[in-house]
Amino acid sequence: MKTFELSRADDPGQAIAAGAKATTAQQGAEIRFIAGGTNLVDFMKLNVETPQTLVDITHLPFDKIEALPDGGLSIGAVVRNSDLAYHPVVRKNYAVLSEALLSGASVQLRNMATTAGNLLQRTRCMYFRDTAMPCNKRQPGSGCAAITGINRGLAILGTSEHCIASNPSDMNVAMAALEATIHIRGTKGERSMPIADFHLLPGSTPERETVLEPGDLITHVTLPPPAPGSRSLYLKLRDRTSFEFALASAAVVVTVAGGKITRARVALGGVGTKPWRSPEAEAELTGQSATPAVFQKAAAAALRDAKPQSQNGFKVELAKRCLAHALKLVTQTA
Amino acid sequence: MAKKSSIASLARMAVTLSFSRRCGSFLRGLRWRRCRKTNSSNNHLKRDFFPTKPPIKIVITICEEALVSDQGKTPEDPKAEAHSGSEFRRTTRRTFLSRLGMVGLLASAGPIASTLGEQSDIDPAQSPDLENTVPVTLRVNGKKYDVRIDPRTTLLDCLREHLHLTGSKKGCDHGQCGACTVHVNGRRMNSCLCLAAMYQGDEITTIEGVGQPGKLHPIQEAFVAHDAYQCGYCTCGQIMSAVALLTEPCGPEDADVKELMSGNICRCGAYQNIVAAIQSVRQSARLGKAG
Repeated sequence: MKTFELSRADDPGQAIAAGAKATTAQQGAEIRFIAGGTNLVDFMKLNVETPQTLVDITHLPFDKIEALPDGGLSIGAVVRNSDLAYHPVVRKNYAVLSEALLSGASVQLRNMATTAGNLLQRTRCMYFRDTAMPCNKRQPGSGCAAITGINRGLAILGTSEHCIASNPSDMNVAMAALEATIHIRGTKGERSMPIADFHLLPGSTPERETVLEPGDLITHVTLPPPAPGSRSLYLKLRDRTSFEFALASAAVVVTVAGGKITRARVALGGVGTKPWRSPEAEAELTGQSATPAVFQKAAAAALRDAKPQSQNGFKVELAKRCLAHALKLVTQTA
Repeated sequence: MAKKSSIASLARMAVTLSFSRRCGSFLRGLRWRRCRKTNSSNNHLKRDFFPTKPPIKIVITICEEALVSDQGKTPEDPKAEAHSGSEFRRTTRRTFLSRLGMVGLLASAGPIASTLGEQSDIDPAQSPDLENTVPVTLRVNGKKYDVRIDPRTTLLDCLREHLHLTGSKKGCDHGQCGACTVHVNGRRMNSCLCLAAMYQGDEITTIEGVGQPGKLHPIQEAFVAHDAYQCGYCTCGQIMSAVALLTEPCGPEDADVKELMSGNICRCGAYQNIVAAIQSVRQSARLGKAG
């Protein structure tokens, strides 16, 4: 691990001022905010991340989960994943989020990991983790070893010729289906955006993963009020039953009324370079009956643009079945 | 001089043996992680789990003799003396390795320094004000510790290397195996991913704070009763997780326990007995409540 200076921010302004001195908030950032550290310390040990300064933000007042006047929920940036997963309102109104969080990592890691940290979770692509290998995300312009290498676990949606790394987060997938809003405070004030606009596709700049600029601090995430009569579910398929990343996962939020699907929100995990919301699948579902044929049509639509690599062709079918099964389960109980 | 050079060569041999063993262990660890990831067969695990170990006990004797002889304090029976702990600190595998490290350095540099014994006895908690260190105050098992550490020091390394609380173990060092599990404010965490300097003011509990011989925690008693370990390396982490699990939302079934214990890997495969031990304590607690 490279040496660094550790400082502690006692108010958001301090953190923002400290972070603003970096030249980037993306890969290669000289200054990093640290909270749970589950991802960052891991990467620092591998010398994938080599910040010169760490700013401890765990003492900032972003540790609350609060009901909003409109019926939605506000989740602080440093709320621990386990606190969020077991929060009674989350379990009741946003089951998909609770299930996604509890399907990720281990209890120890969930006790450490935070909301904002999970939003910024880096890929598990082995070439990103291995500094001896080329990786455009870690070292822009060095090439992508995964395209011609081991890519079984990597993305089939949103890839580019420069990067096929999958976004590993489960929480992000649930938040995409819940249409979460990310709130950011930076040197120019506050701004917010839908989670769909927060993560970037790799394109020719895979080292840029989010819209964050130097000094930008995620303060909280808000969820809209649950759609009336909706049910939600997270289904995760993986090599092991527990403590393993998704090969394919589906977050679904569906409202069924009078035998018809009146509203559907669908997002896929494990298959996309970012949390993969699928408006195509949602369009196929809306107004249709909740039948296996409709679910399969929606699943086919979600994976229509899939580009499998040499080892992950199975993910196309797996993701389709995952989504169709998730839809079956969530409407069964409706 | 002849004696010194022969001691140095013995010490070099000791270093070589120890080093090759540690390297072997490291490489086996890597291989194990790889085969775990790819769901290899049990045979693979078995082969990895029964390595041929160099005779480490013989090395201990050589090393102690080297240390003792050089200080000019040779007891009549250096071996017995080293192990009795009457004049020198009791030799554990850990103190042996740290002393061995010094012997190795000095042996390769030339004649063994005469202050060897004193150096090995320096309490690292009282480490000097080195460059790039920060003062840190930690509360561990109800006791306050003031140390100066490199900011890179993980909580695990701080516990083991600075506070000499070596119950928490280093397995993967990447938050994957759970051997380093400790409680921070009552919640279990992977101490290998915690930067120690960030945990000032927190209440840290390690296995040393959970139970003592003669007054074990019910989970520790259950681990003994159910034979919930083989080599024991993961056990402290398993126990720390199991103790925390008792107060976490967990369903009644074995499958629920397995799910919440999935952050603790046991290379020996004592999982069934670990689950049985935990379930026995939960069962007793339920009966106690019902009564």
